[in-house]
Amino acid sequence: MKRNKRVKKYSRCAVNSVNAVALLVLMFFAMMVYWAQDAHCNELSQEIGKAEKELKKLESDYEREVSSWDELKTPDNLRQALIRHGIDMVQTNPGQVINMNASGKPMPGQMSVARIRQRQGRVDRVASSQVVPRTYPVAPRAAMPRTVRRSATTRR
Amino acid sequence: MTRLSEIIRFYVVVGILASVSFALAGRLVVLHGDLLSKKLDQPNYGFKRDMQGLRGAIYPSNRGSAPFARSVPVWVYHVDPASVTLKQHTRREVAETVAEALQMPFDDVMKAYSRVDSRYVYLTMSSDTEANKVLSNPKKVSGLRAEEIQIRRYPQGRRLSHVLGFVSKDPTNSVGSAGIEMRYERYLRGIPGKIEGEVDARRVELYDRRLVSTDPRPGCDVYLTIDQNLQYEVETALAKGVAKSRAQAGWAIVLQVKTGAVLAMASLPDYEPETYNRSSSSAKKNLAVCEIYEPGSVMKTITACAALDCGIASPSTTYSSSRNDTRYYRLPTDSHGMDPVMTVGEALVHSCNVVYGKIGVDVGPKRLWSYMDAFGLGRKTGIDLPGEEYGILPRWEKWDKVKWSRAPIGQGVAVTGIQIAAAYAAIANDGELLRPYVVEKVVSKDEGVLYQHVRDVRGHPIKASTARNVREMMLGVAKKGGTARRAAVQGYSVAGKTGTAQMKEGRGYSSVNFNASFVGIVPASRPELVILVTLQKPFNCRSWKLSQETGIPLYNHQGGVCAAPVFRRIAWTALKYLEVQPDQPDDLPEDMDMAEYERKVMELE
Repeated sequence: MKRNKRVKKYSRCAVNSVNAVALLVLMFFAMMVYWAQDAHCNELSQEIGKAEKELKKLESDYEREVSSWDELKTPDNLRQALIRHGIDMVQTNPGQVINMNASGKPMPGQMSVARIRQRQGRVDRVASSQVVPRTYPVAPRAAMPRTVRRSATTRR
Repeated sequence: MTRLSEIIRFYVVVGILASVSFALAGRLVVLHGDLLSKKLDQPNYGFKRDMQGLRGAIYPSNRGSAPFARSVPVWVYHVDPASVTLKQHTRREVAETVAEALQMPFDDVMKAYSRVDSRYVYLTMSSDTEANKVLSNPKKVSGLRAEEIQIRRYPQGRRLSHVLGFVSKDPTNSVGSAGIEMRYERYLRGIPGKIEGEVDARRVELYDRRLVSTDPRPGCDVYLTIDQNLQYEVETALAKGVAKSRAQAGWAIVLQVKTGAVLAMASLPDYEPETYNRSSSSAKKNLAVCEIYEPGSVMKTITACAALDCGIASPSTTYSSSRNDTRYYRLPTDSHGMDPVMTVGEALVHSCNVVYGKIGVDVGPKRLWSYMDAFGLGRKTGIDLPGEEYGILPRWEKWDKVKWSRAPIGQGVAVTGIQIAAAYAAIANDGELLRPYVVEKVVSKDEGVLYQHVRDVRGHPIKASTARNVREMMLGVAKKGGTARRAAVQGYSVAGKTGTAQMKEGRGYSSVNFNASFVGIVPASRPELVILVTLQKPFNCRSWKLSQETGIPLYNHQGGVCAAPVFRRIAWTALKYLEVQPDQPDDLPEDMDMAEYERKVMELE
C-alpha cells in the first residue's frame, strides 16, 4: 500500500519533468530557428547591400556613358568630325535648289531648272557633234634620254 | 514536501520560459522597436544618409538628340598626403599613377602629395570610369579619396546658355538659379531618398539593421521648343553679324507664327553655364527678354496697324513728308530722297519719320496707346523664362505733345525683343496675339507627361484684313528702294521692317550709339516664321558708302545694313531646314515683274 503510493508519486513527477524538458527543447528549437533565420536575414541583407551598391554603380556608369555620347553628338562636334573627314557641308545656294511637286517633277518657272537645262543642252550638243579630236605631235623615241631607257630595261 | 518541490519545479520552468521569451521579445523590441530610434540619436550607432535624386535633363525639340543639360555623377578626387602607405610604394610612384590616370600634370599631383599642412587637398573632378578603376587599386594608389557627387553638365557649352540658365555649385543642394533651370526647378529637381539604420564600429552600414530605405526619384525631363540645329545656325549668324559690325551686343529670336513657339533664341555676349561664376553679370543677361530698348522705326509697323485698323488711313493715303508743323520739329528726315508726298505704304518702305509722326498724331495718343497696349508692349509677354522685363509704355494721359509724334516712330517707348517679336507674330498671324513659349512639355519618368503647353491666345489687337494690308506694305522694305534690300531671301517673300534707334544718353539721345534692328515675317504670303535681329551699338557709325541703287548714303549702324544680312542668313537657313515651300521663284529679280520673268525662263528653256 505504501509502495504503491510511492510509485504513484514518482510517475506524476516524471510526467511534469518530461513536459518541462519538452517545453525547453521546444524553446531551444524556437531559438535556433530564430537565430538561423536571423543569420539568413543577415546574409541576405549583405547580399542586398552589395547588389544595391552594384546597381548604383551601374546606374552611375550608365549616366556617365550616356553623357559622354551626348557630348559627341552635339552639332559642334558633328561639324568638327565632318571637317576632320573632309566631308563638311554648306548650305545650298538658291540657284542650286530645284523645287519639285508631289509627283517629283520640277515646279514650273524656276530659273535654276532653266539654267540646268540650258547647260545640259550645251553638253548634249558638244557630245553629239562629230568633232575630230586634236592630235598632238609625239616626240620620237630616240629623243628620250638614254638613262631613262636603261633604267627601264634594268627594272624589267 | 513533495508538493513543495513540485511547485518549485513548476516555477523554475515557468521562470526559464518567461526569461527566454522576455529575452527574445526584448531582442525584437531592440531591433525593430522604438528603443532603437532613441539609440540612433547616439552618434556611435546611428546612421542617416540623404540621397540626391538625379536632376532632370533639358532636351531640344529634335528627337533622339543630345540634351542641352543633364546631371552626371562624377568623382571628386582629393589627396590625404598623411595616409600614403609608404611600405608599398613611394609618393612619387603614386603621384605618377594618379597623374597618368587623371591626365593631370605630374607636378600638380606631386605638389598635392608633398603637402604636410593639410589632410584634404583638392585634386580634380572626373567622370572617367577607367581612371576610377585604376585609382581604386590599393596596391598602386594610396592617400587618394574619391567622393561621388552629382554635377550639371551642358554638353553644348555656351549654346543657348541664356535660356538654359545654370544651377548653383552646392553639390548637396544645387538649385536652378537662372533660365529654365530656375523656372522649372520644381520639376527638374529630383526627390531625395533616405536611408536610416545602424553602422558598426568601422562606420560600415549594417544592412540588416536598416530601418528606413526610400529610393531617390529622378527629376522630370523638360522638352524645349528650341531646335538645336537652328539654334546653332542662329548663334553662328549672330556672332558673325556682331563681329562684322563690331557691335557691343546682339540678340536674335526665331518665333513660329502659328503656335508662338520659340525655335531659337540667341543673345551675345554669352557665358559658359558650367563655369557661370567666372562670367560677368552682364554676360548672363538674356538680352532678348531682359533688355529694354527704344525700338525706333520698328514701331512704325504698329502705328500703321493702328492707322489702318481704325480707318484713319489706308495704304494709299498720301502724306507730306515736309516738316510743316512745329510738332514734327527735329524729327530726323530719313525719307531717303523720295518725293515730298508719299503714301502710307511708301513711307513705311522708306521709313519716313515725319509721315509716321503725322499718322501718329492723326490716330491720336489714346488710340495709339491702346493699340500698343493691345499688342502687348509695356507688358510681360508671359514667356516661360524668368526675369522678363515689362518695358516702358507710359499711359497716353502722360504723353506730352512732342511724344504724340515721337511714340509712333518708336521714341519714348521701351520694349523687349520678345515683345516686338510677339507683336510682329500677331501681324503675321492675321491679328491673333499668342503667348510665346519655350517649354513644350515636362515628362516624368514614372508618371508620363506632367505638363504640356496649350496654345494661349492673348488677344486680337487688329483685324485680319488690317494684318494682311500691313504685311503687303512691309513687302517693299526688302525690295529695291526699300531700307533693307540686304534682307531679301531668294525664293521667299519677306515682309519686314528696319529700325535704327538712337540710344539714350543722359537727358537726350546719343549721336553715335544706336540699336540696329530688323524684324521680318517669312514667307510673307504664308507666314511661318518671325525673325528678330537686334545689334546694340554697332561700331563705326560715321563710315558710309553710297547705295548703288539709290545713291543715298548707307551707314554701317543702320538696321538695313548690319542687322538685315544676319536676318537673311538666319531666314534662308531656317526656311530650308524647316522645309518651307518657297512662295516666289528662286531668283526673281526685284525690278522684274512675274510675266517678264516667265518670259525669260521660257527663253532660256
